[in-house]
Amino acid sequence: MVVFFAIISETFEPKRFAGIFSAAPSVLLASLIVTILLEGTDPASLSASGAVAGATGLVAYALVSTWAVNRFKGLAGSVISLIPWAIVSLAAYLVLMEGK
Amino acid sequence: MSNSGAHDNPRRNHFIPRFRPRKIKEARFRDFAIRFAFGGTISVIAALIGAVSTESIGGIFTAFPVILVASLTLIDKQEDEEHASYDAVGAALGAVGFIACAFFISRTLDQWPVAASLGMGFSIWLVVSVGLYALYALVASLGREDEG
Repeated sequence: MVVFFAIISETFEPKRFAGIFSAAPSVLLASLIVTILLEGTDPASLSASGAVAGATGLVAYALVSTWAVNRFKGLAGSVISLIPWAIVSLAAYLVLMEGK
Repeated sequence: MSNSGAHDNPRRNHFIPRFRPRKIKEARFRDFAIRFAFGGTISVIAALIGAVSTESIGGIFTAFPVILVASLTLIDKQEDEEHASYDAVGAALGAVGFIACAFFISRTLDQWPVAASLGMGFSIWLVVSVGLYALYALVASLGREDEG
């Protein structure tokens, strides 16, 4: 699924539109299907709740990387942007769990 | 590389999405292999964390920016950092759609048929992401005559 969305992303222009497919929920869907087949829907539902937090971090990652890739170049910028992804994901997770 | 036809007509709205299937032939197998390796590795890590934990924290890793890390690196290498940052703007819109998708699935997975929940969740991602892009393109087009 990752490769499928990578191919879709390659075939669209402009980059700002193609970038949407770089944030496709491919790993989420693949992971949920495997979890459902092996363990059922309850653990998969919990996993999807965690994905809400991770996706909030993904927004932070993308926003920070628009600046970071210009400042530090591609590889370094995309790796540095993982720091806000981790911080925001964890913070969102704690907030979401607090509300349950 | 990505300039084929994109800059030919200065009056064209550069925010309108264009489908270029020929670009698949231009892309290298190695680029997709890198993304596959990234995706596979992260999927396994997410599955392992989910397996050893009964909490939902494993789900965080299913939203790891796996494709984005590979895409930004490859675009910067093949084109430039400006195009890589354009890709990241689109990814931010896609990530908002991802939140909506994951939220919907988390609320419906144990109540709806599995295929319906996952299918509708994916549709929500697509509609929200493309809708946000349309809004972004409209605002940006009205604001300035810039290239996207």
